[in-house]
Amino acid sequence: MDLDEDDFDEGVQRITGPGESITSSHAFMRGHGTYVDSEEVIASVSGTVERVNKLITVRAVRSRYNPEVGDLVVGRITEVQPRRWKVDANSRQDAVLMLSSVNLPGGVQRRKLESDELQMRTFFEEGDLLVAEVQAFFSDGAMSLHTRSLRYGKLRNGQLVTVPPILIRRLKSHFVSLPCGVDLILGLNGYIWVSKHVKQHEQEGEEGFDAEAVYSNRNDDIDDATRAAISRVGNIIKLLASHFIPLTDAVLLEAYEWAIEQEGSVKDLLLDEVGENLVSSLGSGMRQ
Amino acid sequence: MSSRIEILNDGGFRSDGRKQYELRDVLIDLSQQGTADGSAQISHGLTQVLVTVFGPREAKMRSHTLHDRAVLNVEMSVAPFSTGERRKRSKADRRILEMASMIASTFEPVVQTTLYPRSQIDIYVHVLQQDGSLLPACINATTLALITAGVPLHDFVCAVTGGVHSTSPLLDLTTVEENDIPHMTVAVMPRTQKVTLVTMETRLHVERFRELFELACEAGQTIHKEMKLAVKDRTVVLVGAMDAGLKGVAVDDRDRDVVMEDRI
Amino acid sequence: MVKPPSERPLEGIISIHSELSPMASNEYEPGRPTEEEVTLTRMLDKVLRRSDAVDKESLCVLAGQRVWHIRLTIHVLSDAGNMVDCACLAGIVALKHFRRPEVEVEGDEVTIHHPSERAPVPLSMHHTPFCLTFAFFQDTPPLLDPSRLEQTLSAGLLSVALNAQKELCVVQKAGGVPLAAEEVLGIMDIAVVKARELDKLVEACLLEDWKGRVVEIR
Repeated sequence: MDLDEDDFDEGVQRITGPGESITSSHAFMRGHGTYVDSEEVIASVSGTVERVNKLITVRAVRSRYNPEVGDLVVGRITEVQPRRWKVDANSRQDAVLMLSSVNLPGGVQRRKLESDELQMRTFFEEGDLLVAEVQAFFSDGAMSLHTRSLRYGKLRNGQLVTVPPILIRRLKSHFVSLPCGVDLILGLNGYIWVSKHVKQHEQEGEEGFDAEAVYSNRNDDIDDATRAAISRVGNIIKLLASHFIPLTDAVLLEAYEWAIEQEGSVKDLLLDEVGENLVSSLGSGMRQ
Repeated sequence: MSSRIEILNDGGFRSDGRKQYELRDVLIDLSQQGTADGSAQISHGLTQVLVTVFGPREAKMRSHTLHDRAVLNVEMSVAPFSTGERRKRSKADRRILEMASMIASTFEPVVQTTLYPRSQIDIYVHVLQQDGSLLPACINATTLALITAGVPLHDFVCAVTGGVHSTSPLLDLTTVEENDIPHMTVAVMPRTQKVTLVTMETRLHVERFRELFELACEAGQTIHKEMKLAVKDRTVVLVGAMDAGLKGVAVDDRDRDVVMEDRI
Repeated sequence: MVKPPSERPLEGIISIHSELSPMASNEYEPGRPTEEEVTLTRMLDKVLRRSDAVDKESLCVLAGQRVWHIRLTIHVLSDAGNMVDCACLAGIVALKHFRRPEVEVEGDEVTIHHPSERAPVPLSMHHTPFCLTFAFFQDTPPLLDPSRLEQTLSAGLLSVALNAQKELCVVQKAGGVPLAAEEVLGIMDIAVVKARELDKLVEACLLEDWKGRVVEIR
């Protein structure tokens, strides 16, 4: 089964599975999801074959999150260790957030003191959710995160929805504001934070940094309409994920409008029937 | 003795109406199970096994990690209602422990564990019904569950049981047949035709063994076809759904009314 | 001598215990049974009991009421590799060497004769299985009877139990490096030859031992 140049035409996707030979290893290089045995490139996961020049990779249709530097992720603190936090980010190992990679109260740039080390739990505690960026990798492949930006840090005022990571494509921005008063953070690891919209100036504060607010554990007051909107968006995401539809702001918005039109209650969205209707209406909208 | 069940009658049929080399129906369900990364349910006739895979993920016990590869952790539970006589088997039952460790050591060389240092892959095997060929069903289901979890494997592992009734070999045995005749389990990797697991617990002549062994290897290839088909179907469906979603976006791009602000 | 379980009123009972202590090798810890211990006991169970080496029906004294219960305990004194083969060999030789007191049944009366009154009788054995373990490596050919070091370095183990009559009783290869079918069958041929050799050796040893004892009793 040899690959020709034209096997990779636009739109033609080759699907393969473990143990299936893709091409000879003389002409091509092996990438992720493949291995070489007796001069053949062989797939090791089930998914689509992708080629960049001479590099052949197989992208698994469903797997854990494979981090890359610069990715935006949403994670949950699992452990507090000396000078570092362990963060579950749906990857093969817990990510590490060093004390030196977070912004601390009292000035963005300052040395970390011993007192900071002693009160690490006042910043992040086990179970806290946060949004961060992948900074680097350790030698064993574990990722190190940082939250050295005002947009990153602890999460509140919302709910977490998890989807398979492959459904989240790289976008220009992973911070999305829907016009219904809901903010979304689409973590590339498949964790999505759906929260109340925060006005821009409030978020940034006067002098740029307000430690109280950044590491606060209390939710703001959220009115019923916003709560309903948050759960509606949350349910839409779950529904789209169960139909394996990649999430983009456009799709979400269309789905949200459709849901509002239907005038059903929020939980109706989780009914199979409603879900089917939503997905088919999305499909028809696309074909127009 | 007339009450005794005939394993193979004069017409060449077995107690459940199959021919000598006929396998039972294989049903494969690869749908998502809860929060598991991958799962598969397989039934060989009345034997039914559900396997869920979690991981590769952070190991629960740090002392159990290996610095250069992932650890496979297999836990097996047998439902008390899986057999005719209802009996609660403890998890520490030696037979179950042995089977779990056999599954783990079968997959250790097959899974590309070196890609995931210090991680752990949890494989939970639930036996829902048993009617012979239990170990092959567990192995086949584990292969499928690992594939659906996107764990890189060198190849499929396809297992099947075989037995010998006087001089005629049989494939894919039921409990009745397993109790009565010598039998063995063989697991093959279909691409290289190599054997990863062979077990036999009953007396059998070497010459018969040879015959049965070769037959079972062949049957493994047949099972592989079924498994490959199921995996491919699922992949096509998921990729199709994803494509449909993406194409929609491309059209929508023209008149997008979404507020997408880059707040820096 | 015990009462048999109701499912099998005509068969005697054999129970096998293995004791694996830290004495055998510093790799074993006291307490929880390790995976290796489970493998060992399961293998012993399969080789000595499930292969029907001992005629269990001959251990029956009075159907449904009285049967012999034989306890076989294996103490691992030192483990320098290939413990399974050694334990199986020890077990089978012990069974062959064992003599049970003779019994007499009159109606429902059971009399057990003390060894000093009547010569004890050997167990009736169907066959004598021997266990042979091969270790596989990535590049080098397989080795029979691996030492501790070889076992640790090996990429896979295959255990075969068979008797001198070329009958396989147990084949066990769980995982490890995958093998081609011909390799497995090649191993079987070697095992057949080795089992014959072992059988001769065991018979010779038992015979010699028995001669010594005859003199003792006179």
